Amino acid sequence: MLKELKTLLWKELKLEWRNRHALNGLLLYVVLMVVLVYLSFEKVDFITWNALLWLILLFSSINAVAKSFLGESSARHLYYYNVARPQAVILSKIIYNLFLMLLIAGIALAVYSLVLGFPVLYPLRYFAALFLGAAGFATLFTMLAAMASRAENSAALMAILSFPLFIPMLIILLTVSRAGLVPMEGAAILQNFTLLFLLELVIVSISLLLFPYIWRD
Amino acid sequence: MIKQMYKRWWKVTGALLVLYSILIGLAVPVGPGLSNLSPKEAKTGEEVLVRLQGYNTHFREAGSSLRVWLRHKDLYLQADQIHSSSDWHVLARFHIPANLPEAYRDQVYDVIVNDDEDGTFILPRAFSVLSGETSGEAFELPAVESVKNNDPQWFNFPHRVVLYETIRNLLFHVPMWFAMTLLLTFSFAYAIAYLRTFNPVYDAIAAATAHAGILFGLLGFVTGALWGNFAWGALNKWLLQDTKILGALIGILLYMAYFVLRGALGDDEKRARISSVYNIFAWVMFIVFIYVTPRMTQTLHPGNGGNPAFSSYDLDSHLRMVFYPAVIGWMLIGLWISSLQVRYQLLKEKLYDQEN
Repeated sequence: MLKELKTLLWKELKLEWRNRHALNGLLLYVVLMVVLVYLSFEKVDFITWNALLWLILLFSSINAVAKSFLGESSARHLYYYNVARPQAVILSKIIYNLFLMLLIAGIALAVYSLVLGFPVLYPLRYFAALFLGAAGFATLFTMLAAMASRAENSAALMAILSFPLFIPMLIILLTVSRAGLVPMEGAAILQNFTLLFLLELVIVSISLLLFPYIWRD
Repeated sequence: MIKQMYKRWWKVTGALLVLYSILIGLAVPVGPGLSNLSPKEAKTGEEVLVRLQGYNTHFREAGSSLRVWLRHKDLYLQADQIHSSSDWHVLARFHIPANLPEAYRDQVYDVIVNDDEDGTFILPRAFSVLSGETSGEAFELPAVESVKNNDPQWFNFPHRVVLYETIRNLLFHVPMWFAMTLLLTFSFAYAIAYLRTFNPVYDAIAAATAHAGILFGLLGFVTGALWGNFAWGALNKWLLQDTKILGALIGILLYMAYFVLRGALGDDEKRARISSVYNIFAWVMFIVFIYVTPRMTQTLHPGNGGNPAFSSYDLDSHLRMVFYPAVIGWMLIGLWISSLQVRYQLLKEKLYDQEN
């Protein structure tokens, strides 16, 4: 299992590197979103700053994660099906998407704070929230991308499926990331972070359990 | 469970319970209360004639047992003369003492009424006693007469300030929410059952219960909007700021996405498989939303302060007698609606098989 996982993960990274234009397109998308937000808002208070950053990450991550399954032909899926365990496939995709999301979040935050300022009081807490947020996007959207890829017109379906599922997580993320913006009690911060972490754990375990059912075609 | 789908007993029970809850819920009067009074203030040393407007009261029937007080903390000022012109109107004469100590002046008093027919009822913070004449005489708290009963002698729903007659909406709005949660949970359970057995009937049940769940979600939304519009003011002030409303909205959106997904997947077996997986995801996130996020945000609903529990709905025993039957009744009606859909689906498939 571990070996399969390593091979699959390595394969994802190599593919991405060979297919750099897709990654570049994604990064360009993020930067364009930031510019768009800057041009429409110009000046924001810290609550709006936080909300807008999460929205930028939401839209970029839907695009980023959707391509993890939509980009591959069903013939290649059939090949994976024969050589690897489904759990290894979904886990490798989740981990790979986590890397991708961290990269996107880092670049988005850098460009975003360059043009709209950086009102974060406790950078460490905020980065921790960002990390958990990226993990949340990766875990939730990977499975949805797998589901959407089974249908026709899957790009539109991806958005329809993921938005309602994402609202609860967005509310938790906004609360969690507030820890970096305003002074807050340590216990409350810990509780929020634990909740988010547990939620992600639940999503990953459901994904591992249910992926075999969407896998075979 | 599937055999029960064709049985009649639970459908009849559901229909009777809903009928009972509608009839009793609309027919039982709200308990006695005060709706208005005039004048609303008096000065110390004055004698004042206050006209009280009752609601569902029996002032005339109560006759001489009727008593009226003004209360602030431990001070009860009893009306020395009372005249009830009709069941809903009473005139009470108060003598506000001139030697009232500082602590009781310029305060807002509650108005309390007691009679043998209606028990005790209060209009809180309704009457102001202002500083007027003063006198140096020592003040003694008047002795308070004890009363015979505090509860109305007739069957009623509690009279609550702010809610008034709309309290009976509790018997319609809350059961909708319960029925929705139950139906969605059924849908989740049958999605799991489908993935374990690949029996297409289970998938049909999951889809039908999700359908009925959405229906009840929408009904709960409408009854809640009507109620909130009365109790909390204009809709746009509170609609999407309340986690419970958001929870219902997300439940509806999630399962609408579920139906979009079903529509997008043509093939029967694949559709059942993938939509069952989405159904499980949707239910988990829905439960996370209604149990976790209320602890992080605020709600106007009763049982707030980060506590999503049901027991905090302050039900009294009369409401309970109608509320629980209503909950069970609406749940059964929801299951009945979904069972009809499942049976229709099965018959359609049978017909299709016969034709081919």
